[in-house]
Amino acid sequence: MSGDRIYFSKPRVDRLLYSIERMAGGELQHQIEISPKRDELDAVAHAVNVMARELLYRLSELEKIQASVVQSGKLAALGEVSSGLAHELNNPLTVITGYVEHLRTMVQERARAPVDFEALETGFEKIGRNVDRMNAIIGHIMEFARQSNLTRRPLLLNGVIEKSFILIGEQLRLKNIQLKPQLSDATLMALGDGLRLEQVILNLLTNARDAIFEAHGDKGGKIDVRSRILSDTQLEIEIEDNGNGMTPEVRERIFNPFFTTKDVGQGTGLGLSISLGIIQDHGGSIGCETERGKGSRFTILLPRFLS
Amino acid sequence: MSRPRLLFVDDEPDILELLALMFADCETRATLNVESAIGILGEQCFDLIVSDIKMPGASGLTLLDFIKTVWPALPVVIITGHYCARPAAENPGIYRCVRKPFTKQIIRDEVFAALAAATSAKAAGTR
Ligand SMILES: Nc1ncnc2c1ncn2[C@@H]1O[C@H](COP(=O)(O)OP(=O)(O)OP(=O)(O)O)[C@@H](O)[C@H]1O
Ligand SMILES: [Mg+2]
Repeated sequence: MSGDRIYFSKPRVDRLLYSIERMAGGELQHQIEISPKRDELDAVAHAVNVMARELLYRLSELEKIQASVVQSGKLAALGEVSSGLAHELNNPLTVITGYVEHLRTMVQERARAPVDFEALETGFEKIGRNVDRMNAIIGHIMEFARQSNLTRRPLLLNGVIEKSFILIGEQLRLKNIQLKPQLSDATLMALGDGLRLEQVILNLLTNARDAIFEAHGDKGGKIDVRSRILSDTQLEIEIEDNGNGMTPEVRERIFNPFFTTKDVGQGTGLGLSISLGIIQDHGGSIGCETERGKGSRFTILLPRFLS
Repeated sequence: MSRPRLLFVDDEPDILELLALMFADCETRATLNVESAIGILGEQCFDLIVSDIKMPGASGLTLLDFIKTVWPALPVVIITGHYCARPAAENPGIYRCVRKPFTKQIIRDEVFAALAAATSAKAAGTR
């Protein structure tokens, strides 16, 4: 009956619209009241209620999937950790066991051939160096484990940044890399562990240095370091280099422990994963934008400390 | 067999030196990456290749593939920190895998077994 026109009272229509708006705004738990009339308006209300419940259910399913993806991401990282760890530790271990065996045979057969003291010394030196290497790797792993108990003090962020400059400045000068700080506000305060944050900045500067050297060799390049207040609650540090940049495949894995594109002895692949851990412990985050052949920009966000 | 000629490929100089010590009775040459190994193979003859897998640049498995197509009779012993089933699965005998850390005994056993397998395969082929 196309000629039929049904009129509803304005307050009822308004109430319905108001409810739908609340739901559209994200309040999916909200349900519209159904009147005892059970007319067309109630039918619409009912349909909207069903839709909201369905959306709520789908959303919770999505959250579950998301959680499991995060978890499997962690598992993938764990796989990378253990296979990386195996590789990192097995190489020095091979050298150590090999030389121990070699030296032992040499000593055991001293009746047949006199002990070559020079060879003995080289052997011990190699064993020592590889023990140190294993120690360094284990030290890094301890760094991971320790991450939970950090000290929190109000600190001047620019002071932290400048301290890390002192440590790496000379190295950068030698490689013709210009450090260009733009530290905007001298009173930028964060709450955290100064030494750990310094370590993060140093890791990022070291990576930038390597990326620039990789791209331009001794010709060098530049690193911009910017700090600024982002909002009432957040501070931002940016470290930008004009180094070699990354392919999307590399970019995706840089925060995984032991992921490195550097030569043996040049990188353990732990720098960024440790840095990310430290920043997350501070309630912050690290982002990275990069373009192969152009450079990379790392952005650290930290909660602001308001005295 | 007279002194076997071996080529070692590993990105760790310490491991290369160690291998040279373990095979002091063989003729050995060492190189740090797959690219230069391929160059060396083009100018000199070897009886066997010992190669690491994970190296900057091309991996030891790439080298294995290359050797398989160019010198299918040349034996290869892969040394690796992980378990690796591939070489042996493709041609048990001349392709072998040794896990790090290895002892002198273990790696020598594998190398000489691969050399023997290659020799008998060649003998069978010329018959
Ligand atoms: N600024 C950058 N430009 C280009 N590539 C980068 C940059 N920073 C990191 N990467 C890439 O991310 C990888 C992982 O970095 P990470 O700092 O975790 O380890 P690493 O520098 O290789 O070793 P380590 O920090 O332990 O010495 C690097 O090997 C490199 O490929
Ligand atoms: Mg690094």
